[in-house]
Amino acid sequence: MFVGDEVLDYATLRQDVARAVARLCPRWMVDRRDDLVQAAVMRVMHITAKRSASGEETRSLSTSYLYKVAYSVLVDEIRRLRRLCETDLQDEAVAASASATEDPERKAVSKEVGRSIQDCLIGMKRERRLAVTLHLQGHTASEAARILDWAAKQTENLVYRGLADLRKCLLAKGIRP
Amino acid sequence: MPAGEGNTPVTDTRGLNERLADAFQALEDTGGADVSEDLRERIWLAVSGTLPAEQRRELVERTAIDPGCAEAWRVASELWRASQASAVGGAAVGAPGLTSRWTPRWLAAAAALVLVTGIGVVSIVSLRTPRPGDEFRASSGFVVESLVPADTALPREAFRLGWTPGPEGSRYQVRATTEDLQVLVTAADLTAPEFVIKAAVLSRLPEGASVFWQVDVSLPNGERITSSTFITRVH
Repeated sequence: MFVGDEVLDYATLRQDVARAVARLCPRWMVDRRDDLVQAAVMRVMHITAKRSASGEETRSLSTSYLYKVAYSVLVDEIRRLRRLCETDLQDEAVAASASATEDPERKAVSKEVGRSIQDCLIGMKRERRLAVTLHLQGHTASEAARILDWAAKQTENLVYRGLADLRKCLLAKGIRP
Repeated sequence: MPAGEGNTPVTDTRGLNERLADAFQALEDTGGADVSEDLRERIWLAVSGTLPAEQRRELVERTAIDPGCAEAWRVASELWRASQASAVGGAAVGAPGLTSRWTPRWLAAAAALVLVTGIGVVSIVSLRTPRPGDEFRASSGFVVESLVPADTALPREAFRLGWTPGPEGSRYQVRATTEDLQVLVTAADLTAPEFVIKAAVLSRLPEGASVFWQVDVSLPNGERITSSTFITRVH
């Protein structure tokens, strides 16, 4: 599709969405990964087609805009799928899929640990909290340094010390991670 | 940044750290409040490096206590990473807005030179390529087109979708959705370039409703091509 002077490459976008979903996808969503990618890309196409047809803000319909839309759509789709899995108890396929990929007891324990991590983060020094939060979000130390605009070595040490604080805090709560 | 945070090397406690990260990310399942448009926008600007540093830090702080925000951040980060990988690997795609951020100042001059060259290349590509609308090209040149005439309504009892066949040995996958993108049907590993959506599947759609459908073609050489989205109404 062409908009303005830029080529909007949906095939590449689809690959990128699939790659992102593969890394993001929680266990309970594995069986629905393809549907998630497909729905997200189709919604992006729908939104951009509508905006292009209406002539609305045509200058912003660039490749970067496309990825931003895809991000927002993916957020919605993941939330929609989660709601579906939580509420559609009559759907045997969904229930079977969820139970096959998730151990409810393990899931509950994981959530409890997650909430304790939140508590511990709140009580941590701000700099360590920021560095550890990004670490827990899956960022490398160098990515965290870039995001926080701090020196790489210092950010590494903040992560290291922050994780030590976190483990100590969890142990104090009776949680051995 | 606090002084005296030391220079102790980071030790590898990967297994433990991964478990902590898994537990932290599992909080998404509790389903927090909706993530507002404004928050999404700021998250995107943060991961792409456009938001000022202190505002980025404020957002990170929020992700520590807001699972919805944390999830949106992860989605934005992953899509950003994926887009960066594509921008590096596929020059023809062209994503100037995605590659120009997070760039050290010392690279700016070189980047400007590359950008000027890139604009030249993109302009040539744009001039030499016809603009046919929503079409998807494979490197082989094969384009998937609908054989259902545009603006046609098909009867529910014979809702036969058809598309241009690929080379011998091609396999097809079809997905059809409603206008609000609820999946009606998916079919995989088809050997013929056509698919009939059963009347029962279409029974809940009102007269004149649009069905959005799309075809993935797996060529014998392993290449995969995705069609544009076609729209056919129900009669």
